[in-house]
Amino acid sequence: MNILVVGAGVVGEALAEQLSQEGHRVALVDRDRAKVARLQEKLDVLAVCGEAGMPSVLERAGVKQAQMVIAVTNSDEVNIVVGMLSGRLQVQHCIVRVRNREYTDDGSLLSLSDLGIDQVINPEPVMVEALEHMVAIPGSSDFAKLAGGQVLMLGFDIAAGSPLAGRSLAELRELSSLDAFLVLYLHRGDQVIVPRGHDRIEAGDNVHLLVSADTLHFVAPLVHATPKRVKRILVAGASRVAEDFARRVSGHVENVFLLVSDSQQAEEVAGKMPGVTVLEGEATDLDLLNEAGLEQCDLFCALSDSEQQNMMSALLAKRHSRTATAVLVNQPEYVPVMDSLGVDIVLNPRLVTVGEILMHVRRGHVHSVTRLAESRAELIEFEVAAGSPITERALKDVAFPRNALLGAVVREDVMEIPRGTTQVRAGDIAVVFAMPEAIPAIEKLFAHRQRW
Amino acid sequence: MNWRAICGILGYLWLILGGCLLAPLVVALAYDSRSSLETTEIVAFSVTPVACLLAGWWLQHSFGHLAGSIGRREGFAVVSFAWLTAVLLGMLPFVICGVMNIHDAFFETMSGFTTTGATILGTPGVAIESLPHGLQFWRCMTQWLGGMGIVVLSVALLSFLGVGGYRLLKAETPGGVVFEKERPRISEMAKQLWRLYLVLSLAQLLLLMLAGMTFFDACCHTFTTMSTGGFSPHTESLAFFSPGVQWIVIVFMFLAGMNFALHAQLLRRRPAAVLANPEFRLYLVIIMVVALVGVAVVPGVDSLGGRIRHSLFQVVSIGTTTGYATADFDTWPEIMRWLLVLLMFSGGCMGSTGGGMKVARLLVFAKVVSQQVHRLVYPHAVRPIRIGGRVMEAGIVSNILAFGVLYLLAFACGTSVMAAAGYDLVSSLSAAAAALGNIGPGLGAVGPMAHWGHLPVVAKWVMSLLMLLGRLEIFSVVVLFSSWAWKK
Repeated sequence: MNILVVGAGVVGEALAEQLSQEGHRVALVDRDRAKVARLQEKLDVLAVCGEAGMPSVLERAGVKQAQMVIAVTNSDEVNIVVGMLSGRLQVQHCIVRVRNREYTDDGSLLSLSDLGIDQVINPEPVMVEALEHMVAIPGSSDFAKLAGGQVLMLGFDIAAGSPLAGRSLAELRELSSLDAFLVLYLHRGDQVIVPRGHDRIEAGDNVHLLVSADTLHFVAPLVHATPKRVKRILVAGASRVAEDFARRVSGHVENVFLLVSDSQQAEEVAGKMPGVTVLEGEATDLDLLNEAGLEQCDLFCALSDSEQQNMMSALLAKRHSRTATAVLVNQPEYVPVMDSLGVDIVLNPRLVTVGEILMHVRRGHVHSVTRLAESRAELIEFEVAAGSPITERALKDVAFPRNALLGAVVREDVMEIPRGTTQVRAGDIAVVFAMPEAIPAIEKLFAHRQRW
Repeated sequence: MNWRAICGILGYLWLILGGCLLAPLVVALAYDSRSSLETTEIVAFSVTPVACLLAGWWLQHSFGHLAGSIGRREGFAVVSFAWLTAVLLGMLPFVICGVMNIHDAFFETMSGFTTTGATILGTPGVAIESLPHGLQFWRCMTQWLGGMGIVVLSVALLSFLGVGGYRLLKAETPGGVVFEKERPRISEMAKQLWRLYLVLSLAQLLLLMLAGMTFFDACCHTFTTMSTGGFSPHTESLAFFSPGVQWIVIVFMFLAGMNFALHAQLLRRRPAAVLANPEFRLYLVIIMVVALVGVAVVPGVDSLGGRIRHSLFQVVSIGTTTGYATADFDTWPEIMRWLLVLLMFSGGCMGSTGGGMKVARLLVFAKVVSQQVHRLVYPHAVRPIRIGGRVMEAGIVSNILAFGVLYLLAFACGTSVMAAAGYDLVSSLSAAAAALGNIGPGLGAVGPMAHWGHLPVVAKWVMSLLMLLGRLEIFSVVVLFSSWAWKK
């Protein structure tokens, strides 16, 4: 497939690299000449320098031959213009990142689908929802919803007192006599381990689990010894994500504080959100944090647009209290750094966006793609195609690739943890955890045979 | 320097080369079988590809999986070693058959792959015609493989190289080339180039056969015309054939000296884009002007048609760096000899199979001069260098200037060696220019009706090196002699 990626930021570059590796013909547009020259040397793509919104530039990048246009520049407006132009040119699929909900909400003056944009990506609501769930599940540090909410993927940092610490997977099977959850992988130091029966979970590991939504209420206490309800949340920053999160979480948490540095903005926000206590000032000001009750705080969320500010304020909060912390960073490279500094939840809108877009590129039978373990692995949700090789025999007889794991099968809205005798059927939803090298084999096993 | 990755790619390259070496075997089996020389020849063409394929398979098997991971330095090394090893493997049939010693075989094969066309054959003992058909065919085929480039061929065939292929292509045609990537995948670009090359070659083959050439002669001459090589299975070169054939060859030499991106434009029915190309216009003007002078001064031919044909043939042949001859231009008036030497420097267009400094670079030299003169009058003027409406980056411009300096330096060194070997100045200068520019014949002792067999051994090796420098546009080879390429 010919794919035109507009905007070579973090998302654009990651997408171009991934898609080119997957065998697509990729063209990339950006206005930064030096960046274009660098990418031309680094990736096997056509890199074009120019203003993305200009028809002539798009034409130079081959928009007329493209079957898919992905607009991910920094500006919503430029992305929309690119979407409009490619809609005019009858490009089959047009995916556009638009972050401002003014453009995308129902009843908006501007109807994007009328402009020929068939998919709008906004990572922010996805992140806010994930964060909200993590607030509800104590101890969790990662969250994703799969199979329409039937299956949840949860990340936990295993504390020393956790019931899981020191146990092998085989012991866990006995402990939870019914198959309520499945361990996907362990993150230990810099290593990603896909555990087998005899591997032990140690304190300090970060464990990713697949859990059925129905059994969540008794899995969570298994992982985290002392469930404590979140009563006080500090949110730093006046970004859309921060406001959104504060508004939504104020419905079920008593004390929500929002720290806004700009006085005019603070007043505006306070007017909009009666349930939230808005404080005016810098999130790196310790006195202000104390005024918001940092001591009793259960979760400190640094969600401003400046990642440096987020990192510093979270570290400061961590230094002066026992609160859990959540930090929003834009550079995917910073995610592991934040983990190693002891930040509990790291949100990265770029990774979310890449996952969302890949899901649309691998259209058809793929329902969602979540990038995990610092992009070293993916959690892919397939609808099992009729006649695909995996449906031909029981799981134990299928040559399943190494570095991949069939995590869950959802049939008629019931999640099942697969065993050797499980027979996957067409129409099931399969959740597969895979390292990149295993993805082509997985696609062959599950998917329709037609390839781009 | 990642030697394993380099070996991996070389393995693939040898496999491709081994495959190509099967073609002369077929020719040898079809045409030759009688004398003992021809039996040795068939053995040679059986042994060489097998050795090549085995060695290539072993390297590819051991290191091939690393081939995708080459960096910039490895790109240069791969390209230089690819050409060197291709020459070393390609010379084996000549050596095994015993028709040449090692020095001569290396010179002849290097002259083949670099599309130079300078030959050591021609002394009474080893006339070109005395070679069996298989060797003749292989000699011409090396030029065809080298014309579009063996590395381009492998990038076209090895699509898994990905961005590594881009590094290789840049290393094979560097020197600040305005190397425009027009397609998302580099292997597709390489494929398109080879496709155009094949189509043009087939067209010429058909036309030559229609004009009465035998299939064998038509193949050989197509190989050496499209690559702007200049080898011919006949000592008399193209003078052996009818005027009709010569006209066909003129047209295809001219086409081969054009940028192949322009051929793609022609296929897309955009002739206006071709005519608007500033490099093409200058290329056309240079050839027309020199040919007109030729028409005025060419001696010994009475009819106007004959004068036009002879003049145009020699001018296009030297101007595109092919090096065929229909007349002994060494006996022409001094002004014409000098103009032909100048043509050796200008060469073909960027992205053609021709050699020389390339017309586009001359254009840049001229623009830099005009920029500097302009700056004398308006010291604060910002006046970027534009070629065809596009602004050239300062980095590329200075790279082109440095290329010019290196080119002249290499030319001076080559001339010195020839002069030290005792040749007169005209022969020395023209020999160095002809080797470096991948033309073939020079003037005097290495003129169109002479040969290079009488060069001393050292001079042969130096001239071979000049050919390689010229074909790889100097920088890729020179960088291997710099400490930066080797430091960790």
